Amino acid sequence: MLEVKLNQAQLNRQVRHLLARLPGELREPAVKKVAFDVLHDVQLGIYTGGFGNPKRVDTGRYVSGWRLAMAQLGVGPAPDASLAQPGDGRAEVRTSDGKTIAVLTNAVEYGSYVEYGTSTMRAGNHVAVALQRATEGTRQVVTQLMRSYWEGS
Amino acid sequence: MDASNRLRNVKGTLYTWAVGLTITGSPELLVDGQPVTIDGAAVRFAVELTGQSLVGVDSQSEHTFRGAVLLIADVFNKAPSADTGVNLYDIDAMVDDLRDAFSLLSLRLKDYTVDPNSPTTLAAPHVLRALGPAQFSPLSPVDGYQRARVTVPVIWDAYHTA
Repeated sequence: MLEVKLNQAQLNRQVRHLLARLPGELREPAVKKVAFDVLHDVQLGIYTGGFGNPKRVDTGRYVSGWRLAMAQLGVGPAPDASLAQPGDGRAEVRTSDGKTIAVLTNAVEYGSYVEYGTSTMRAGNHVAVALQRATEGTRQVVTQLMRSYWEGS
Repeated sequence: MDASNRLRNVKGTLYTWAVGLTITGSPELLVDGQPVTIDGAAVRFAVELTGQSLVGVDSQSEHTFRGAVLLIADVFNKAPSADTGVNLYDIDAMVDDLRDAFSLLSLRLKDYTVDPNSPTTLAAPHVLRALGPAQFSPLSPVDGYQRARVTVPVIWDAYHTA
């Protein structure tokens, strides 16, 4: 099983400051958008070999697990997750103590082999690359959200 | 294409540096795609491109991009069995050496495209630098090996010329 936690403490300092300045009602949409972007890049990397990661699709169950989690975020159009089994993918966004956290889970048992490889198989690094891309891109997301918020208020 | 904008050169510079590191326990040092061949300790390095962003425009035909890659080291050490004991701190020592080396990483980019056996250091100071301290995460054991992962984001400035 693979579990990814996104919270403002783990993102870089600059992004963390921006997130902390967001009005409370915008924090959850911002974290959801970042989580959606991460899952989008993960499934694209697995399915197409995009971002230089190896293409890793056999039965399609693992990639569908991540798509199932994407659908649960309720952001953007629901992707095709028809090859997933119930419980394969999950996304949960929660706020406590002023911190908003997204927990993204893929319960397909061979998921860690696809991501981290083995002693004889190359690591896929789909999640690692997607998380790093999100860290680099989050500043833009937060800035756009703040701009639209102030323009609309 | 400018040599500073070639991922091949970034990979060549980072891999050559990485497989030259001195790491406690003298593990087998491998690069992405190479299988572990020994029954002891090994480190496999990978370089993944994570993005490029425009940082400056000198003229219509000359742009500068900030490139970013993720440098990854997957650490393997023989797992203990009923017959063989293993010092469980050995993998920690390897991880510490890698964290230290990764966090201080600063390398002049080299050009491997003309002669891969004799790369030249680029004239302009294109420097690969670690962006922040290295991160460490233990992984679950697999096929007889304990595992851990060390990563660090690395950035550099690349020229794009028409």
